Amino acid sequence: MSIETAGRRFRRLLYGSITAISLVAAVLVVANFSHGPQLQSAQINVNTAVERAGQRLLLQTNEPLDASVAGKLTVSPAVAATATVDGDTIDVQFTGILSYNTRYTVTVPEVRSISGGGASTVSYTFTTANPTMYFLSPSTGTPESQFSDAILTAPVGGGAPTPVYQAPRIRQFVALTDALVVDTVNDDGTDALTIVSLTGGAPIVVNLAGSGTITSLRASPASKLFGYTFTPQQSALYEAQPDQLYVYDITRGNDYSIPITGTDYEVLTAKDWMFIPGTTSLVAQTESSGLLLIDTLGERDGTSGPAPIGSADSLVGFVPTTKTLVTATAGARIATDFGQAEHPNSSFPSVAGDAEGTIVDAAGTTLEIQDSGYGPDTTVAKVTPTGSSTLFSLDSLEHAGQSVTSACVSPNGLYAAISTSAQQITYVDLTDGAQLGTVDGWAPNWCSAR
Amino acid sequence: MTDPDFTPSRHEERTLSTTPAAHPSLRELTRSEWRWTPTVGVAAVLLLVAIRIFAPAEWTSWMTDPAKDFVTLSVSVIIESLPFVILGILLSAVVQIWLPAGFLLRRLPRNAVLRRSVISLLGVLLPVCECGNVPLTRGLIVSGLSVADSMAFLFAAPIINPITIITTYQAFGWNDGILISRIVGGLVIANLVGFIYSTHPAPQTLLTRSFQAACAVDPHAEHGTRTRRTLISFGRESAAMMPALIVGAGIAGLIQVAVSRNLLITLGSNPLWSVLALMALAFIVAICSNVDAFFILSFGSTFLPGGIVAFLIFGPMIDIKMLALMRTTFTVRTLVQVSVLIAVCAAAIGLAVNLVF
Repeated sequence: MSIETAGRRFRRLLYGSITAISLVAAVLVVANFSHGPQLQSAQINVNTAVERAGQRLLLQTNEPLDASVAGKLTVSPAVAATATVDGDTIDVQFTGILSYNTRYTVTVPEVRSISGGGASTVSYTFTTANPTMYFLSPSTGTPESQFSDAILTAPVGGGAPTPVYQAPRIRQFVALTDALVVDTVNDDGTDALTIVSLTGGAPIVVNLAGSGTITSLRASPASKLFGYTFTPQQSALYEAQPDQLYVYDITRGNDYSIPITGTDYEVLTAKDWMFIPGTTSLVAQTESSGLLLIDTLGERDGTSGPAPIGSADSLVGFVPTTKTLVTATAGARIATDFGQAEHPNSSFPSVAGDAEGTIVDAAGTTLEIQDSGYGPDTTVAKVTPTGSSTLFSLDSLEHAGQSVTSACVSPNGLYAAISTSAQQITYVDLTDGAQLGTVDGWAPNWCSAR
Repeated sequence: MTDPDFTPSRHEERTLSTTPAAHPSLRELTRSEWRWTPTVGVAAVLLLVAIRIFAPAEWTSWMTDPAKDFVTLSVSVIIESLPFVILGILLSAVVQIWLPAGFLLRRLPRNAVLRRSVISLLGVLLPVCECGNVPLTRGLIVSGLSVADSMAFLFAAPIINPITIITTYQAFGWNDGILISRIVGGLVIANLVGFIYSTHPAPQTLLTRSFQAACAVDPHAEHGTRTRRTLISFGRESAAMMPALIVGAGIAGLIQVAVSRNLLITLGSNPLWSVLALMALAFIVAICSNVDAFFILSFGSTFLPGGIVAFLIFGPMIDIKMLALMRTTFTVRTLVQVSVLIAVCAAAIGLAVNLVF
C-alpha cells in the first residue's frame, strides 16, 4: 500500500467517522425533541398524607417544564388536588387527607418541556400508609397463663393481630409513637403505671404519688407526653383530693411525673382534661367547671402556671387535625381555637340530640350512639347540622342483642372505631359508611389519643 | 515530513523511525537551563512572596471587576493544574529514565486493538488529571510508544484516573448513568481516536518539529547520573509545559470574563443546547478532570444529565488549556481533527443520555 493510498484511507476513516457520528447525533437530536419529559423521581410521605391535609407529592422530571401542565392533573380514586410547576418538578398538593391503605394514581397528561418538543404523560402510583391500631383483648396465651389481658396490634386495613404486652389485669392503656403506657391493677386493687417500649427498651415503672387508682389516662403522641389523674387510697390520717393531674415526659426516660398545679398551687383536681394536639399544653376542667390552660413543661420548670380561660359544663373534644376544642355549656357547643393567639371562642354548629357526641369535623358533624340501651337496634349515627344518617348498625354484626359501647374518630377524622359489648371493634369509613374490618377486642387507642 | 523508508503497517508502527538531521545533544540544549533553573525558580518564588507580603492593597485598586475576575480565574486554573503538571512531568521522567529501555513496550499486547485497550486503561493506575497526562504522554512517545497508542492513553487517562472516578461518584452516585456514561464514553472515544490515527501513514508528521527533535534524542543514551538526567528532563519538560499552561490559563480566564455564564445556563433545559452549552463551558473553564464533577454538580439542577455527561467527557479531553499544552506536541491540523472528532462523539453520547435518562 503506497503512502498516498494509506493517507487516503486514513482521511476516509477520519472524516467518514466524523460524518457518521454527526448523523447519529442528528438522529438523537430528532429523537430527543419528539420525546417528552420523563419522570425521574417522586417523593411523598405516605404516613403524613393520611394524617394531615395539604400534603404534597413532588414529581421530578428530567427537564424544566411548561407551567401549563398544572391544570390537567387527575387523581384516581378522585380526591381534590392542585398542581404547580417549579422548574423540572410538578408539585401536587392534596387538598384533604388521603385514605388509609389506598392505592392512588396521579396522572399529568401533556407534559411539555419549556423548550418545546414532544409531550408525555407523567404518572405515579403510590399506596398510603396502613396505620397500626392498638387495642385490648383477652390474652391469647395458654389457659393456664397468669396473663389474662393483652394489648394487641393490627393494621387498621386488616392483618393478623399480634400481642405486644400482656399482664394479669390491664385497666387501660395509651399508645405513643414508640411506647405504650399501661395501667395495670395490682392484687390489692391499686394501680401501677408502666411505660413499655415498643423498640426493645426496658419497661419503666412510673412512680405514683402513693397507693391509689388511675382514673384517666391520655396521651399526646406528637409531643411525647402522657398524663393521668390519680386518686389516692383513702386514709384515716389525712385527707386526699381525688383525680390529681400529673403529666409525664417520655423523652426524659426514667423521670418523675410532673404534678399539674391549680391556681391555689396545690395539685389540681381535674374533673376532665385533654392535651391540645401537637402542643405540650393541656386544658383542664376544675371541680367547679372552670377551665384552665396549662403548659406542662412550664409547670415542670416553674416558668408558667395555669391560666383561667372561662368555664364549661363539659369538654366534648378536639375537632380532628385541629387545635379547636369544643365544649358544651347548657346544651350549646362552643369552639375555642388554641391555634390562634388569644384562643378566641366561637359558637360551634349545633346538631340535634346529644351535645357531647364525638366531633368529626369543623362543620359540626358528630357521631352519636343512638338507643344505646340493650337492644338489637342500637346504631351509630353521623349527625350533621342539616340531618342525620346511620353509619353503623348492630345488625351488621353476627351476635345481635349487644350494644355499642363507644364510637371514636381516627386522628385524621376520616374513620371511626366502633366498639361493642361483644368485644369487637369495627372500623368504618366516615365518608361512605364502608366497613374496613372487624377485630376482637376493645378500647382502641383512637379513643385515648386526645 | 515523511520518511522515505516508511513501510506502513498498523502493527509495526510502535517506534518513531524518523531521524532528523544533526541535532544539538540534549545536554547542550539544557546545560545552561539546568544551571540556572534552581536559582531562577527560588528567586521567582521569593519575589512572589515578597510582593504578597509587602504590596499595599492600593496596588490593585485600579483594577476593574472584569480585570480582577480575569486574574482570579486564570490563576485558579494554574494553581489547580500545577500539582498535576509537576506530577505528570515527574512520571514522564520516570518512564523515560528510570524504567529500562522498552520496559513498558515489551509488556504490552502485540495485537493493536488489545494494546490500545490496555494503554487506555493505564490511567486507572495514575492519579493525574489531563494537564499532567500531556508531559507523561510526551514521555511515552519519547520512550517509543506510537503516536496513536499515546493518543489513546492521553484521552482516556484523565477520565479513568482513580481520583476522577471517585469524585464523579461522590458528586453524582449512580444517578442518571452519569458515572458509567463518562467512563465507558471516555474509553470508547479514546480507543476510536487511537484506532483512526493508527491508520495514519506517517504518524510522526502529527507531531510538532520541536517535539520530533526531542524524540530523536534517546534519554537512555545521555550521560550523567540518573538523578541528574531526571532533573534535566524535569527542567526541559517544565520549560515546554509551563508557558503553555500559563497561556492556556490566560485565554481560559479571558473567555470566561467575556462570555456570560448566564447565557450558557439559560440554554441548559434544551436537550440539544444543554449538551452544546456544557461542552462550550467545559472548553472555556478548562477545569481539571479531578474536580470537574463537583464544579458541574452545582449546574446539575439546571442542565439535563446528557449535558453533564458531555461536559465530563469533552472537558478532560479538549479544552483551552489542554489545546495549549497539546500544542507543544501535536500539530495544529492534528489538534483540529482530534477536537472535531471528540466533540461529535461527546455530543452524540450526551444526546443519547438525554434520550435514555
